[in-house]
Amino acid sequence: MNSAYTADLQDRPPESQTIEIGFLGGESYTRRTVNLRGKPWIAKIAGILLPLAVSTITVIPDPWLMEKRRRDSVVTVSIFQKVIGHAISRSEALFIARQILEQAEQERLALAEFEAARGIQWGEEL
Amino acid sequence: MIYDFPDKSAPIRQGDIFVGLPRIDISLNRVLIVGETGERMAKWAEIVQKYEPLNIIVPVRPVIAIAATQDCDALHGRDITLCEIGEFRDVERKAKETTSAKSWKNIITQHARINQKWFYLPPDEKIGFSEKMAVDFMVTLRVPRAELEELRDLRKGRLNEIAEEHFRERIGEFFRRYPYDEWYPLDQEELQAYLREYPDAKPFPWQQTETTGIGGKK
Repeated sequence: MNSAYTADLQDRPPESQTIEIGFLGGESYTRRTVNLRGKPWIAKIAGILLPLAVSTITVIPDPWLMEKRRRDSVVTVSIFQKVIGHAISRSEALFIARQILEQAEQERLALAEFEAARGIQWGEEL
Repeated sequence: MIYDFPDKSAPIRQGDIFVGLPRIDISLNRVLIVGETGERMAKWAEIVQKYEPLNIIVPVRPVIAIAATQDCDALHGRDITLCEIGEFRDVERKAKETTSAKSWKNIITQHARINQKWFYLPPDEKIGFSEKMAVDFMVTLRVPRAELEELRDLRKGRLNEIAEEHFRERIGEFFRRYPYDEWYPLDQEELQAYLREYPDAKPFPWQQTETTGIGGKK
């Protein structure tokens, strides 16, 4: 891997921050210098608090995603209502699942028998 | 016999043999839908019209299987495909009553002459095969690679170099099969003999004659 993030805050005046973001391999590199010298103290605090406040927005549930999930659940319910078929108990469902498994195995064996009958017979003793 | 036993840390490769992997069988006529108010049974054709995902109950059972995915994909791919391993007598029904060594020899060495749907695996105590076994190329499973790597305890061994090379070629050959109607070049006499055995075969236009009465469409 040749990508890494670096944050270099050393060898700078206390009011000045340099944030370097990029790939060590040199494909992409961004350097941004924020110089707070000479700014009013309120601006300094705002400069610190605003990014923190904005960053917390990312942990708020995405309204679009919530809406999509809500719509998905509605669609799923409508499927259940529209599906043609009959309701069964869970034990009945598990029994049918077992039947499906056994039937699949029987059909596989039947196909193997069919193919064996069709294949070249290599000698009587086979 | 023909098996190697790699260290647990060794990456997954084609020819690795696992036990206890899940084989799922699904019926398209009897789909068991899981709902909030209970279970429902329906046909897949009815469900698929909505083209939406849903939860269903599927039967599953643990099987022995061999990695069919080639080495490069087995290292990087999202999934690994495996073929089920079963008892040789079940996979190749021609051998269900075979007993003599000569008969076994005839069956096992067929690979050089015909493209079989199986790959023979001899018994071996260390790998856990007490009977003659076979890979069934017709039955495949797919599992997530990363999760299978976490379950490398289930890997009981792998094919050795000679067997792996043979397995690689055999599986490639099997899936390269060219399906065709084998009766197409038969003359009238041969075709009659063929039809007695396989009456469902439909003669080709050049095999139809008025005198023999053989007809039908391809």
